[in-house]
Amino acid sequence: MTQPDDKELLLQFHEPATKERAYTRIIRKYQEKLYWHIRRMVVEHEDANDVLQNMFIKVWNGLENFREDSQLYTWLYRIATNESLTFLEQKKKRSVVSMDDSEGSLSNSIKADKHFDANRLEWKLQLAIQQLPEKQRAVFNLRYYDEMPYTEMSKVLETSEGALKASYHHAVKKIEDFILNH
Amino acid sequence: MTRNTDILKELEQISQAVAQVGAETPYRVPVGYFDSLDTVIMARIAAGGNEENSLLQVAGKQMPQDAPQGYFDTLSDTILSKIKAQQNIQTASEELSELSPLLAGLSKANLYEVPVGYFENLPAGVTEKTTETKVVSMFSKQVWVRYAAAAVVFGLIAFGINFFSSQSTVSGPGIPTAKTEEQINTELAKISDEEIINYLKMTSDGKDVAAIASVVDQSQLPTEADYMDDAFMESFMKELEQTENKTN
Repeated sequence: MTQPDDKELLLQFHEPATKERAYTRIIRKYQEKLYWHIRRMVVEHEDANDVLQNMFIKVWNGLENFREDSQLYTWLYRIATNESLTFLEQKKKRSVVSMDDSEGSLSNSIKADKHFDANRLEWKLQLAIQQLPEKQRAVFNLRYYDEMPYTEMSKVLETSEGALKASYHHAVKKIEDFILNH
Repeated sequence: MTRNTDILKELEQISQAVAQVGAETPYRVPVGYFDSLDTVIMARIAAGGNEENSLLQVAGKQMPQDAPQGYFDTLSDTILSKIKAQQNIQTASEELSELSPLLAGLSKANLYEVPVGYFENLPAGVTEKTTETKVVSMFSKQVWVRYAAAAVVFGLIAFGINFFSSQSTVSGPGIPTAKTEEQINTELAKISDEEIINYLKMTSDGKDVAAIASVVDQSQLPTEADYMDDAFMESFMKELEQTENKTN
């Protein structure tokens, strides 16, 4: 099934009669991509679900003022990334209060997954990704999984393309090191 | 999944080891999660983004109970229509604009005039009147009851006559047989005086009294002596004297 064009969806969204239908189509179009982007950041499904839903509610409120000189796709990714980073920040604060280790808890969540298989490289990669600082984790995921061009990623993360390339390079090296040594 | 060759080449240049790892994310999502996600989100939006007010938990967190078939297909519409209905609560002026634009366009300023300073002096005037003027009752409570009793007699007779005459003219199959005067009197006797007084106080006026009087045999009415005995007259005269002394 061909996906509806963003411009057409935005036009429909700005019409009161078709607003809700258009937004439902926007959710359907981007829900899986955004879910996986968020899920790779926050690891647990319940957390990803919360972040994703809250994000779409914020988008509903903000879409009226969306400037159409940027792409809806990059704008949604930016919100999803920011929401994920905010969630992880809050989780970290809660962990400090409860004397918990946030980074460790994400790794523990991966290991606690009932499908976790320590011998599979895909699972080992997930553990390696959790060793990265949060924003670098986003850079790696967007490039590795979403195959996002640096030009678009620079809009999503509001960082220069050069800095993103360097960040991705270092991230891959750290991951390689983790995989080879674990 | 087909990987972008440029990105794969870039990765291979950085790390062969990482490039060999599959690009599939090993996490799983609950079955049907993406099928209902849009409905859940729209329901939350309709509920003002408030999780407590929506049924987010139902779809998103695998509740053990089953929702009725097709429930989520219409949930967002139902909630949205309720919210819209709430938003449609009209003010009085909005309501009037709908009912009559002509009336709504009229000024609501009072056209009537009151004397200058009327409202400023009104409270003082009222206080003055309530403290200085004593309302003198011409009749004691006892007297009022006596007159009321007389009115009751009027009422009973008139009611009885009216009832009897209307009933007696109508008869036929399926219609109850007219009651005799004796039956009416028996039934009327069951009604307490208080109820009859209350009835007359609420419903009768001067025209009623005139109508009653026109059909009542005057000789059957109680005479003045029946309710104005010596004690009553003595009490009435005393009250009258006291009133005269105060007003002089």
